[in-house]
Amino acid sequence: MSTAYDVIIRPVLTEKSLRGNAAGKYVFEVAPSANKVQIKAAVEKLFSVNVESVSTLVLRGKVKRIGRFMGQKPNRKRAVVTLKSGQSIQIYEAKE
Amino acid sequence: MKVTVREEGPIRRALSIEISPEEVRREVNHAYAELAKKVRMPGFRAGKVPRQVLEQRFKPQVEADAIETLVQQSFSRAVEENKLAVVGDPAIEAPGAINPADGYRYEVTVEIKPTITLNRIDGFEIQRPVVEVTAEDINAALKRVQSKHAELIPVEGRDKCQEGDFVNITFKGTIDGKADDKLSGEDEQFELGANRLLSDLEKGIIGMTVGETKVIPVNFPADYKAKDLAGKLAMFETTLTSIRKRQLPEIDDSLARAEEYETLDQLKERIGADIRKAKEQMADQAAEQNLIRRILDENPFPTPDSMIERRKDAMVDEFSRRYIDGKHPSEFGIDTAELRNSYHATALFNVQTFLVLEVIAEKEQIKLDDEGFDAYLKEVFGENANLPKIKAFLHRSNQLTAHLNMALQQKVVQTLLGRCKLIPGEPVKLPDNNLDEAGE
Repeated sequence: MSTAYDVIIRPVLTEKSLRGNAAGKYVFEVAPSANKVQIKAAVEKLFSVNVESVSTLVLRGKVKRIGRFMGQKPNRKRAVVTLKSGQSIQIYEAKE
Repeated sequence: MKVTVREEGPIRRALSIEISPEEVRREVNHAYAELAKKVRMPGFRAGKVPRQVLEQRFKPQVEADAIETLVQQSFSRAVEENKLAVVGDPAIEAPGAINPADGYRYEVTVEIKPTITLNRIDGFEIQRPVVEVTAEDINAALKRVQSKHAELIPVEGRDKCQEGDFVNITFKGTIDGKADDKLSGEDEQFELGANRLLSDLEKGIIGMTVGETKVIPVNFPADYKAKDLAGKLAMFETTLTSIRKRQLPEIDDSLARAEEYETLDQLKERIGADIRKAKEQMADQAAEQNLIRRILDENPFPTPDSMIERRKDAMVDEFSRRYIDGKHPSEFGIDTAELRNSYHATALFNVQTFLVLEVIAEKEQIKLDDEGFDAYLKEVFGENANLPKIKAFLHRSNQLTAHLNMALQQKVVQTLLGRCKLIPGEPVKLPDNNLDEAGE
């Protein structure tokens, strides 16, 4: 059984990811197997917000070589979630 | 900043300090700005971490820092504005949480110097011990010189050892059949009856003859210093190798010559002069103490506990430095709390002396000039001391103020003593081991 917590792995906390917050865009790292519908449902459930749209991107894992063995770091998937205008997620913000 | 001062007795003040919301906010903002400069976080360039992220991660720490700065600044300002002569450490009761919207308030209790009203400080009759050098004093000192020149000579006419003899023994100790290097020695010298050996071993040795070998069972006492030996039974295979006894030289001119004096009378004269000097010093000290006691009786005032406690700490440190190599007393089985308590009366007296003399110095306009301080240093560190070097050292080790105080105190006491009538008191006695150096 997969829950919302299996879909959303962690918020992405970088300068670049926080740039969109004012416009209601939040970035999460999500399970590579998750699709946009699942992501939308999970974010709405976890943060009690309405999701307008979801864009995803896949970060290819780096190819690493140890001696003569080639290997690959796992791929990661990120989702940029746009909320219905006026809504926000408190996750990055300490309560004032 | 609003400060209310409540009096809690003559030497305690309770302050309640309130800091306005603006001041709190300014300090908190400042703390975050400082933190942002320093903190490095993955995903962010240095100094670019948003305030929200910082707050989420460092709030307790930043607030604690901000509170500390606020408390320190406001406390020292409060002390200054209210002209409080604070002694000891303030007892601060500060809530740990901070809410910029409400401002911040905390309570602090401090001890202050007591206000001393001087009723009477001079014109007393003060007892100064009579100084006299008795024949016993000189004889005791001569005996010490004599034993210093004692020689060990072989015993003749008997080969059995007895108490008081110096014996050389070779011994090998075993516990449960196992030999132990710690318990062995070759041809080592001991004085019988001086309690340098375990009593069982000593008893076993007494009565042995030279060359005799004997196995002596020895019970280590249960409270023996070395834990692994305490309470054990050890067998000592002991051989007596020689017996000698202490021969004291005659007290005559030849003893004087050994001390580099021509005749015994000259040695006696010198010893007498040394004893007199020591006794005069003790008499002076006793008179000064009597005067201070009298002053304290005439002008009572309450003494801040924190000063007494601090003085006790200093005395314990001093004890440790002087007698046990700066180690902690507990390493030697000394109960620190007990040691501290034993210093209570002296500490109280010292603190009161300090407080009252300070006030007197101010009232009587007694000041210490450079010459006075130099004279004091010469007295403490010896006539030929290198004064600039000593001053530099004291300055470096933060002892200069203490010594300046001591010198001023001395001057005040001497000035006051000059305005008192000295009456003869009980003669002083020398402590037993004070004159080892006499006659040198």
